[in-house]
Amino acid sequence: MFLPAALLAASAHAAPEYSIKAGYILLFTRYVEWPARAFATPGAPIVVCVVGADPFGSVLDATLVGQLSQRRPLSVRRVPDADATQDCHVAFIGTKGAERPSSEQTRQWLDVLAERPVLTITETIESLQLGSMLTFVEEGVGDQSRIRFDANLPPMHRAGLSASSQMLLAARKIHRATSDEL
Amino acid sequence: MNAATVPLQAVIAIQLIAAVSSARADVIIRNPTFEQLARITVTSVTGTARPQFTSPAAAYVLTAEELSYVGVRNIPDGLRYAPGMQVSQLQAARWSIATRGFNTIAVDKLLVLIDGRSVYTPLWSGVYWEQHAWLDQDLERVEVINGPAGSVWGANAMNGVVNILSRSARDTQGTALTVGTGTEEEAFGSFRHGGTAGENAWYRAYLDYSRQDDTELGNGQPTGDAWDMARIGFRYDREDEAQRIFFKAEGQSGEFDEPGVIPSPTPPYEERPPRGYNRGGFVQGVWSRRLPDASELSVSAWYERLDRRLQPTDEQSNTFDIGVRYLTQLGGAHTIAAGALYRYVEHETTSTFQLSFLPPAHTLHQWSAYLQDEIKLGERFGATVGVRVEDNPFTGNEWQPDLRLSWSITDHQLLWAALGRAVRTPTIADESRIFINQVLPPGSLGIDSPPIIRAILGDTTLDSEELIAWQLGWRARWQDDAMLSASVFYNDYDRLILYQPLPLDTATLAPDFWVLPLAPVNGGTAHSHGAELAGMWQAAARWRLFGEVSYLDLHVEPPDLLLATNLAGSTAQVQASLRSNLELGNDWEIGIGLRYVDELPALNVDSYVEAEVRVAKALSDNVKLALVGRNLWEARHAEFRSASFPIDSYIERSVHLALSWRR
Repeated sequence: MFLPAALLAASAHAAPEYSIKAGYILLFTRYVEWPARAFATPGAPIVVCVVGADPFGSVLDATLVGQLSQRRPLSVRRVPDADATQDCHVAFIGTKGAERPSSEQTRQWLDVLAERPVLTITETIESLQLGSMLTFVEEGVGDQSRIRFDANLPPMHRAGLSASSQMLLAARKIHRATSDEL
Repeated sequence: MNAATVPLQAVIAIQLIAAVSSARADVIIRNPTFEQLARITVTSVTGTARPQFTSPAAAYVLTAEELSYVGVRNIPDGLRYAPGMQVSQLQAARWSIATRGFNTIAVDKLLVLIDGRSVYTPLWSGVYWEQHAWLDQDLERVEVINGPAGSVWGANAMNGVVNILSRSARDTQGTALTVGTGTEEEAFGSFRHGGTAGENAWYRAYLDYSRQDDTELGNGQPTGDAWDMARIGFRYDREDEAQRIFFKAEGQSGEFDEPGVIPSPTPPYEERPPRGYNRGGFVQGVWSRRLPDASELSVSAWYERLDRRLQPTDEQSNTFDIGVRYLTQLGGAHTIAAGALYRYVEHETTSTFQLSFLPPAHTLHQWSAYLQDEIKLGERFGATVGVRVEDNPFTGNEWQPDLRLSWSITDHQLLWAALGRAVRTPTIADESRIFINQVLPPGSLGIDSPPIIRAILGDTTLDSEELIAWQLGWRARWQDDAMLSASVFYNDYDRLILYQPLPLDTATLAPDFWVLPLAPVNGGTAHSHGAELAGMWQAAARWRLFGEVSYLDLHVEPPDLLLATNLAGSTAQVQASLRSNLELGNDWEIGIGLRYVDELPALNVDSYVEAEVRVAKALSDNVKLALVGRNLWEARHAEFRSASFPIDSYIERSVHLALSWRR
């Protein structure tokens, strides 16, 4: 502390939580492989859905729109629940905020999603046990807190998704056992 | 925060996109990699970087966004919402701004920096606020540190530091235009254009203009203190893995109506002052190199030219400043910052009858060196030990040590304590001033007396004013939606410069004048104690509340020296403020500010409540219209009175309209 702030300010070292999470979601769309059947056409977009309450505001759109992942454009959609996720390739469930779904609700949504090749992302460790594939975790003390993610491989494999080794290297923890043993 | 590691982190392409449709600046991370994302720290409350959370100091941040939300157009009005900061506007272009007391006509115990460049005048170590007042359209934030910070910032950071930071050119791409008009803010406008200058390099060019109407006299007439100021500038930033370069140049020119009368040697012994001006500019460059062993070396330099005539001074100065800083880590636990600074000042005054300096010109060489060690003691404890030695032309070497301890009770609570010594060194004015306050007509002291000059003199034997400061603070936050910060302090001042009447001098200027002189002496001591409490609450996703309250009790001894009772009685004991920032729908922003300032008994200024309201609507993605009402509570109110400027001026209620467009 206490160094001239001009020095500190010149370097971007901190960002709001959901800006960082949006950055991760962009990367996930680049390092996760979907089965070909997940897309109608070779150039069809990867559709990122926010299920339920949206904690991102405009940040997710601003981060993804205009970007390409695996030669596909990205689009963001907000859907009220898992029943409206037919076209989604990524489903983010905000399990942290004030408007988060109950864990029963989350489990039900994840169960519905598990039947299709949809990458599911949540924000609490507990939701890995409910069948989520990826979850964001906060690491560190006080102001030095950072965002990492845990990967849960069994549900990914069941859905026909695979994550590249580069992505798994970045994970804080990789769960290879079935979710019952977590 | 662990400051040293920050500049060492890989540069991450974060772009601040200030969406016009919502005042919130969305941070968008461009082209991330997993490695980079895992290194970014999460900003707390309200999506703005608040590095002060773990600082063992009474530090607060006002972001540009928060300030614009309540319609603030200048830095002094913004500082009114900083805990413990006392802002008193004397006239349209004059402010007295102090923290933790000593709120005089010439506040000389507060250090102000803009992008790391010190802007206090070498003449008397105060700040010419008219020059720095207007909010830079690309301001990033204002940091306020209450309490001494001499070991890091140098002499005169005695009661606090105000750190004004503008955005990197990287974050100000595109074109932005604002125009506006109002009852007091008669006309203002600003233009900026930013673009890229090759790989990892960005620039912006900008200009702005503001014209401010008169304040009002007691009798309802205009004070005659209207003014305007134009600025033009350029900033360049380059940043890659290995180095960071920052360059800034700016010029300003302002014209000032001068109210009232000044003393004159001939009957009626007073006259109208000439029109004032403030012209000048600066160039500034910083180069930082990241070294492979996780260290950083930076060199910064700036040059400033100032040509200013504003009552009572007429001065020209050239200041050149160069500094080096080295940051490194020793073992896992020590973060070392070491540096040295050299400053060269050429200062010249043009004597007037009212104010002259003997000699009229000065060349000053000042150097200082500092060493600071930030020690991590386990997971939850930290200590910062720092010392600065400064050599100045007036008192020689000055040592300013500082010790700070911090304890993270939990991840969300911090307790800190600090003990430090700070000095305020005498200045050109303290040493060589002859200030004629008033000329009493002939016969004032008996039938035969010639006109009598009341003069304030300087003294070359003055010593530095000294402060030992004890501080204790606590900070807590709850999730991402609430934060509370409290600090208490006890300040013990010694060798304060107060004024002593000397015997009537019937010889020096006889037979034309007799002189009633006042001379400065290091004869004062003072004790102050107080507390500051500040909080922030994200009441809903798009509604934020800020509040602060401060208390200060200052006693200056001995009361028979002039200025002693005045210093204590011109300090507000209690101040408080509340702000609300609310977004409605996609297009509306509503900001409300409310503040209370206690009475200033020595200045015959009553306590007052004032309010600000701003309503803004996005007319399209690129255009925003804002209607701002300022000082709405009362038709007018007084904030400061001084025998040196015996003009009873009042700040009026005002309204202004601003239209901004960006692309």
